[in-house]
Amino acid sequence: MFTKSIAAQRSFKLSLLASIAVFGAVASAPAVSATANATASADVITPIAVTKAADLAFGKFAAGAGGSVTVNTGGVRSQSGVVGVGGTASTASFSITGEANATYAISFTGSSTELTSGANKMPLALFSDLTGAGATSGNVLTGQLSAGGTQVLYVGGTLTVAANQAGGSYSGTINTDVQYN
Amino acid sequence: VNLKAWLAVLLFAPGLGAGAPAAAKLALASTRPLVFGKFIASSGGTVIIAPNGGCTRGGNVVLLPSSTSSAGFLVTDKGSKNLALIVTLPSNTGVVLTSGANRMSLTGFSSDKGLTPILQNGSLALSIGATLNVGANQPRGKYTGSIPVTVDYQ
Repeated sequence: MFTKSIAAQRSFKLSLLASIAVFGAVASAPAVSATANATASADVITPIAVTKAADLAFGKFAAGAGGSVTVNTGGVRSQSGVVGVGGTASTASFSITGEANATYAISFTGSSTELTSGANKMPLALFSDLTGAGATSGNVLTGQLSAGGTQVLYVGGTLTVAANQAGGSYSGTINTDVQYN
Repeated sequence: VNLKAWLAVLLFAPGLGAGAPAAAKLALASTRPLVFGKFIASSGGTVIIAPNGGCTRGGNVVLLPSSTSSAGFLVTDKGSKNLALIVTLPSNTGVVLTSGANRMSLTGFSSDKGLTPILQNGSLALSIGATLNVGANQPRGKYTGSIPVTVDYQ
């Protein structure tokens, strides 16, 4: 009996030590951690660009008593007052390229408000559209590129001609600026 | 006698565990993606998203109007108070955004709460920013990637 009891006590001590050892192992295990992933994204966009495809031309005419010459966005010329109209008329056009379906803003800042020939001048009013549908007023200020990333901007103008406007070759500049918006 | 001893230890163990972090309950979830938005690469540069979500550029990158955001994460545990954490952000190598075969690397990760924040009252929101490195004439495309973040108890 007595011997048995000692054996039992030894067994108890061993098991207690074993248990402490197990617990110690748990306590010194690496701290818990958690990991998660966030998605990240970026859109690299094709630069937008504009290039001139055609110049605005009013052709030839004589001032006569004065009047005006208009070339609409469809390339059709009309006039009043002036005489002897001839030569080739054409609408200015600009090819715009960039990201598919992107919208953009159009500005004509810096464009000529008159054509000049030396010291002689003729007032110029510009108008524009994106369809070439024959507009004779107003400017288009926003556009949207096609699925292929292109669009054409058409610019026409009305030239005011004074009576006895001095003869000469008159010229000016249309400045078109496009920016994604 | 052996059985009683084991039982005592088993009952005792959870009591000892009360002083340690609430094991196995620490959780981290993504709450917001890191979005660099739209830009034109030009001759290259960087797009930087700050932890507060602010977007700035470096070099010749042209930013376009678009929405951007820093990455958001939520650390949670079961109501424990004032537990010190270690936040592990990605290193400056290895995290890339890809679009097909094209790549851009991410560097300079930063956290609005630093790297050793205190978890109070069971939850902590983290906002992570980074720098996107854009190559010269980086090909157009939608680039995506994944940002791994780990939190541990100190």
